[in-house]
Amino acid sequence: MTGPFSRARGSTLYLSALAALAMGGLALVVLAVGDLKSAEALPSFARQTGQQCVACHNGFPELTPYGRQFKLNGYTFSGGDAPALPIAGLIINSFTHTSKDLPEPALPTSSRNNNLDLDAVNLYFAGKITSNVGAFAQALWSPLTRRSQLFTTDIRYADSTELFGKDMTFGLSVNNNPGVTDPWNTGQSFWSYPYENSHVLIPPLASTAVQGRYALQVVGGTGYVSWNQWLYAAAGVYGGVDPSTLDALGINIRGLSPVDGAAPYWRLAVEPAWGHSTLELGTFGMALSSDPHRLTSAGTDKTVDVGLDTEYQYLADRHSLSLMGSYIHERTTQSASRALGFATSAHDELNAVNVKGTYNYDQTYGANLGYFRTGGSRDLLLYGAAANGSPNTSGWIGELDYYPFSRGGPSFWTTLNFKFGLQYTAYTRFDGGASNYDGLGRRAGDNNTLFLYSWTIF
Amino acid sequence: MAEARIRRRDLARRLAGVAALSGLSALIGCDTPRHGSMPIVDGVQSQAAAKLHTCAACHGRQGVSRAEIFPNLAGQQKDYIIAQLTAFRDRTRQDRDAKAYMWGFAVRLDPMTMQDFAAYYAAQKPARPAAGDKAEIAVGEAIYKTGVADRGVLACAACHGERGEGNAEIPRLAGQHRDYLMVQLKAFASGARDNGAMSLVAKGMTLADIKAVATYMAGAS
Repeated sequence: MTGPFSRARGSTLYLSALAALAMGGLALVVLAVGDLKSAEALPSFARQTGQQCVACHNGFPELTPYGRQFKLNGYTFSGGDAPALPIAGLIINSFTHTSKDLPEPALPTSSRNNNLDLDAVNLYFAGKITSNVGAFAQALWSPLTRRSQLFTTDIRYADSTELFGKDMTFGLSVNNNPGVTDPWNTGQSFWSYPYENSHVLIPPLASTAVQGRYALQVVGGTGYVSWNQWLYAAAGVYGGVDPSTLDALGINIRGLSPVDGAAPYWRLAVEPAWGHSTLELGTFGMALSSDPHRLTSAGTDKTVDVGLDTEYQYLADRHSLSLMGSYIHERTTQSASRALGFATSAHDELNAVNVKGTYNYDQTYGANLGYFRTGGSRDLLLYGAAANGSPNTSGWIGELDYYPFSRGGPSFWTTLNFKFGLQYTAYTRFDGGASNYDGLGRRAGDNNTLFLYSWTIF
Repeated sequence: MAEARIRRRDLARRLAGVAALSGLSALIGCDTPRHGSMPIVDGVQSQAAAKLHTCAACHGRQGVSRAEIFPNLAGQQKDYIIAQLTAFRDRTRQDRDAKAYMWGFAVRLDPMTMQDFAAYYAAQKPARPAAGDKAEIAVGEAIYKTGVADRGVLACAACHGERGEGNAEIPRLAGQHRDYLMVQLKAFASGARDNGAMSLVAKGMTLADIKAVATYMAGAS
């Protein structure tokens, strides 16, 4: 590595390696001498409720039925000895290896391969503020981007009543991430499998809007009702945030086509429950106008996402299973982009399919397997980096997880928790092809990734 | 130098943001009790009524839960509810779900609030009986009423009442979720839930016995 970043790169790598070793060492010490007592989830929530991680999470961050209720009720349930401020932290360390070196580093601070990183230090303000108001607000500092920034923020008002003789919870969320309000983890925003991924890779070109394209770039409100813990409906509207405000919050302005005007979001789902099982069936979507490359002279592009999703959970004492699937269809009318020379077609379509299965033993050991496929219309301008102009990407993601303290942290630091993940991603297609997708001879399989990560949560 | 100054200013701005968020929390952190439209019965204090909302997330506002892993509390014996809340608070009930869900919620419960919770749920109309396999119900009824002498399984009815209505610290079983009853009987058998009398009974029961009795009681009223 040469150039202006070489010194920073060296010191970042050194710090990252040191932090990774320190975390690993701490984990070993804790595992070796830890006397298992009460455990914690996001520790500020756990300090507030006094409950174990497993109450809300089936292998965090996936939510259990009770975790969904906690979220829908505005993070306000309490019972434990909560401190005055609901503050928690999360440190992410990782190692990323791809089958072949990347053509170029993904970030000025990363290498073309074998990156050992301190990914981010996260600070949460998460929990009850009043009996009816709660927050999940996240800020982070990352040595990779050398930024500190506001991250996902979800502030809620929630209450409950009865309708037709059944319980009903209703609420309003102000947030900066469409779909993050959802109590399931099927594919909206980025709280879906895989829950952690490498930040030092060059991602595929295409993803749909509701999968997090506008996360942190917008602000909006979502109202919701949950009736009899069976029917869930939500509707909201989002709007763009001006670049200077985003910059002041430390948020990297991603993409060049911000939301123009009001962007509605909606969600409808039912969730029958029986025995140890729940089955969610739902639909969701959003519609938005955007200014291609921040230019408004040719009008706006229009995008509509419609998704179908399902989540089955069987949660028992030792053996837990969850299966999820989502299908999202995106149609973009891009007359503005075509007029400005950013797209060849007046209409483009994208279809995203994601499915995954998880088996957790004793909420301590987890095995996951997922399949993903994004496909759609060819567009030589829109997907110019793909040799054939196709956005098609598909593959498999397997992950093994270890959650040492789902049911009990060490007695000397009961709010400490970890997650260790070993993840492998195998691409069958990448940006339109299995081979020579970039016109320079790179194969999809060259991007196959071994990714090890740890979450240190306190 | 200029860069360092910008960094300092940047840091100061972010710290100001955190401080503002903390200040906001401190200002509005005074905990207004949530009454909502929670039905309040005689003897339930406002504090308990406010907290009942949290109980209702799993056990239902009227004490009938939707998920079978959480017990119905409607019509449950008042003394039994108090005894269990005390056991959660004192951490003497140690089955896994008790640890995961109830230890935390009970840690700060005072006797008066427990009384109020118990009075509220005891006064609710019990859950409607669940339908079940007729053959299994017949087997369950026989075990419930007469026990299984050769395996040391005493008649459940001797303590829990002819109709499963319970008595004082002995719980009502009629209309309880089948799944919950099965989990509890298994926990008694394994010792995860410590109760001398129930452990003896449950250890003598086969899985088929447990299923049959649970089905019978889930369908009783």
